[in-house]
Amino acid sequence: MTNYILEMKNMRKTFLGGKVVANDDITLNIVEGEKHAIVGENGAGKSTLMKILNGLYTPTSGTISLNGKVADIKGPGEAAKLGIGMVYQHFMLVPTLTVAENMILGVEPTKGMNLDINKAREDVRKVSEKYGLAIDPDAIISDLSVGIQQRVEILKILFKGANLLIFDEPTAVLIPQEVKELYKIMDNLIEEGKTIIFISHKLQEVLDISDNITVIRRGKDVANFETKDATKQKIANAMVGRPVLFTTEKPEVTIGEKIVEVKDLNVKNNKGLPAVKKVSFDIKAGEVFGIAGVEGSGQSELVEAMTGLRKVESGIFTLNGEDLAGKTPRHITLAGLAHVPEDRHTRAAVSEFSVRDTFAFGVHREKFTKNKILLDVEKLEKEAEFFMEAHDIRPRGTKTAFGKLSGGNQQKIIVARELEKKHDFIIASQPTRGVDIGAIEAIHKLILEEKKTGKAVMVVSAELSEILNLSDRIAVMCGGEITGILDREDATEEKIGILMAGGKL
Amino acid sequence: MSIFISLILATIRQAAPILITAIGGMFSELTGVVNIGLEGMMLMGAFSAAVVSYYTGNPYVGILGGMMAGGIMALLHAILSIKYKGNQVVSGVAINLFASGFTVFMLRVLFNQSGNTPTVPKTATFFGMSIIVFIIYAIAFASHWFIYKTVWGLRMRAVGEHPLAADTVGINVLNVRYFGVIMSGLLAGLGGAYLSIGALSQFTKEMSAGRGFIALAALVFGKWTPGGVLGASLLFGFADAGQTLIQQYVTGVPPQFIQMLPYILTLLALAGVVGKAVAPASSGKPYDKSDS
Amino acid sequence: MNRKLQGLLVPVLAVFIALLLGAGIIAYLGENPLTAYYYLFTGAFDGRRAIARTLLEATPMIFTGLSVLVAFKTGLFNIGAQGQVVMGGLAAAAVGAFVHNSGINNVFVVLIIAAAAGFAWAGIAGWLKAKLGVHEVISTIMLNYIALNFEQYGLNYPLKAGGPMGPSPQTPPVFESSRLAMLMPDTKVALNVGFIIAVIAVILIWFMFEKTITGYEIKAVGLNPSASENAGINVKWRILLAMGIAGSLSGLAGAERILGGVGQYTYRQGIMGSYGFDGIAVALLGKNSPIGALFAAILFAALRTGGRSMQFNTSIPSQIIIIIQAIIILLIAAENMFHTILDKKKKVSN
Repeated sequence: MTNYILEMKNMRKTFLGGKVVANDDITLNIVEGEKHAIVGENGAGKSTLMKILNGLYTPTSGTISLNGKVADIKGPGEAAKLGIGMVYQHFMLVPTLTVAENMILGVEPTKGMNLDINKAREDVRKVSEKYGLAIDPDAIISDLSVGIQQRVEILKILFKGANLLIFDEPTAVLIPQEVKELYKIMDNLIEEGKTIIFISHKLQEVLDISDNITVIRRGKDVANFETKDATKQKIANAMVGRPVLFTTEKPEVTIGEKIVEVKDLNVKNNKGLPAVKKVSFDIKAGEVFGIAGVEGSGQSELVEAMTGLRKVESGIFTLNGEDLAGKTPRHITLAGLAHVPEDRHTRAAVSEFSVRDTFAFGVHREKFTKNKILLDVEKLEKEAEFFMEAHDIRPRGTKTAFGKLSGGNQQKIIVARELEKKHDFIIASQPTRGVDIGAIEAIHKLILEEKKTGKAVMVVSAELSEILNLSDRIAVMCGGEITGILDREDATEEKIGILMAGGKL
Repeated sequence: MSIFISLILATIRQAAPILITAIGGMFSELTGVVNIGLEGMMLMGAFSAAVVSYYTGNPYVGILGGMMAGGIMALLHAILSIKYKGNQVVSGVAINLFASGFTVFMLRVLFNQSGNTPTVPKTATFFGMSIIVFIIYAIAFASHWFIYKTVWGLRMRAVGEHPLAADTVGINVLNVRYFGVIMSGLLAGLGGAYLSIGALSQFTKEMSAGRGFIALAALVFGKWTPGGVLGASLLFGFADAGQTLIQQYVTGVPPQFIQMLPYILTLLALAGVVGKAVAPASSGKPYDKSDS
Repeated sequence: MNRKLQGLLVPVLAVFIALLLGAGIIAYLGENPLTAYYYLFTGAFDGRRAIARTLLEATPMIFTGLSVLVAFKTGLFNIGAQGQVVMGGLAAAAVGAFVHNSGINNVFVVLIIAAAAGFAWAGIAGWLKAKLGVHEVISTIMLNYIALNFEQYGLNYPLKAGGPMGPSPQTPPVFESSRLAMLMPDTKVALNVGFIIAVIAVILIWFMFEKTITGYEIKAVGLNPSASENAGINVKWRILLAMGIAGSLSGLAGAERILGGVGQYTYRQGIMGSYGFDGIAVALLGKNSPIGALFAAILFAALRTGGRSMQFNTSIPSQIIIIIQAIIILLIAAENMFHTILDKKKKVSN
């Protein structure tokens, strides 16, 4: 008789008075002491399901049983008392407070009217010793590295007595070394008698460390495998509902001359510290140059500097021989650079604008005005309709607000818009972030097509598989420097992992 | 020497209403709710304190009346901004307009006057300063302890910086914000009460004269900390006090230019501080957990 | 009922509820609300004279309403409209009453100078915001107080009729050539061409936002400055330009008060009223659309002129209009509350 620590039966959660169905009759059973993976595309409903478990949301209907007893989880406090704890993808830590203050938030010890901060420090020391995770109680969260912050998150829930730990995309922001450490911590926790649920979209990771897999698609649980019987193909097909291609055909193209040159580029980050340190590389026509590295290694600042959104402290950046370092975004665009930004919501478009207006955004002065004063609405309308047909973007209707489209469709529009610009060089930053597997193929195809017309392409991505899939040459960034540049034939995950961690080959 | 002492005393006096209103604004903003309506709350406080003092003959009840008026206006702002997630700046501006109109209307209805109330009983004074001034500075110092040494203070700061994180550990974000906003109204009301029955003994139309906005500037300049706000308020109080002094001793300069000084100083302070002052991260954004 | 329609309903509901509450206050004060409102309505619209008065009062509010609206579209709150109105008026009076050069004291030139003064005054706040990130709410309010002090200085010293020793704080009347022509002169109300200019401004601003590149860019900056920067739009210049346009509109409001004859063509104490602040109410009630602002301005003006008639014919003080106006604003600010309540009603009826 399997001992289920958790049984969620017929879970249903709707929003906006029933208009949005996030979870539709999901049943999930977790065995005590196992590592259970929950997989699904963006918006499939996995986060919602976990938030119900953690008490942030109340289910519209359905029952939850812990160790056979029905539980009514009214809030996060309740969930914690029941032994449920969640380590969020975006940490639930207040950056300006200390480790101790974050740890005791909500369960603060007091001495009379005052906060008993000494007891708090003691509590931190006790729990960190018990689980062997060293941490300084007085450190301020914003000063800590991502891996250490995650440790604080884990200790926080252990401190409150969690037995069932939920991890939401835990390795999304970790470098390979930190990932290995996290896997070890997870194994230790299982040995201590804990049970782990983790959400992940990294199929290899799911196969490597889980015992059981549940796939969620469009609010429903569609598949459940024991990991020993599972393959990447099976899981992906269940996620999307149809067979999925993992690699895209690369067109055969002769690579041309150097057209992009970056030499000794130095850029500072928002805190005034060096983020890009003496970076040098070049890109040839028809070549896809990938930049790999965990987020925060300086890639964002590099791209911002090259697109005119951030000051260049020193160094050279030329395109077709023209010096572009320090020029305005407009000048750089007119010089032939197209850019798909990493954060589509803040950088690429205005969510409230219609799809039609979004197509013009950035090229409105060049393509959609007859006399530089009036907007050529007719031309805009025609172009927008044409694109929506050509790239199968739904729902049709150029007046829909951009923000209302799915992530994949949004990205398709942005990529299409950028490709339509007169350009010789395109930078695609995290091009398939938040984009469903179905649309990823389409976007990769669009990017690879650029090779045929002799464009230089720079792809920056934290998804190693994407880099390996698209690139002809791969550079790895770590701590603001390029630790190595490899040809695709020589590149393996191990080698890149070493470079990502700052090692040398 | 006596000019020096009277200047210091004047500075402390003039800074008081700005200080307490800014501390009030701090309570609100630390929890993440922007309060542009401090001016209106101060004005309502001034008016109510005078009216209550008039009808009860007791200025100390008047102080309570002033605080309550500010508190009620703040409750309105809280409901609009927190419960109904409205635009916090618009709500604040609306409260200011309402206060302006309401006080003038009631002046006419209650006293059939258009400029000011009749003289009303005022509070006792020590060293030439109303007792309210002492209360104000006591509250200001106490606020440092409250924000940094108590559970409530910790929770306020957490809610202001990362409301979702606070929510996930079981803190009621909305309640904490209601507390912050209502405190801001009570304290701004106290500041207003000082103006009408502490410094003078009557309410005059528009008597807050922009102090609620200068308090906001003091908040930014003071980087949302009690110590910083105290320093900034004293600076503005000094400008105000100095202005009257300069008018007495400096001839040849039209008085209006001297009266401009506090406002010009505020502009310069804002311009100089920018880039280094960071508001609480969730400032101005209504809390909606499904946004995560 | 879809969201958009719901949104349009809010201003109508706000006015209705405010009038209802006003009626309550009137009844409490011992008068019959229907009689009071009768005088309110006739005072505003009954006869050529009433209409002329209402439109005259609306004119500066149309300008300031547009002013606040333009800034709002850029994502900025122009609380400084009042100061911009004052500076525009001072410029108009300074040039119109003191500059003898007939090439300059021509009405069109004076209007342009007043608009420029408003442009510059708002531009200070715009520059502080664009270059240094200073919050425009506080900076424009400070500029308001500085402008008011300037006004006092001007009326008592350099611009005073008869010099600093003159009889009262006001300027001499502006020259004939600087004056705006009268509309409906038979009513003896100073309704002037300024009103026509205001309506033209409404059309121009509407056109700017719907059909031009500049309007497109201003909207983009207001909604998402990061994306606009990435799209090659110069965000700082747009902020500056938008604030400048906003300031010049308010400056025109001030100019109309002087050149339009409502104060015998002089700048006198109190002539600028609270039109700058009324502009905020107008923009909010008009839901930030130029046409809406036009109607909102006329509504508020009608309340005011009607209010005077109501005060004359009943014992209700005209200040009640301020209360009604304030309630309207609070209700607009509570827009989300309406949506929540209307949504709940929908749920129940389903």
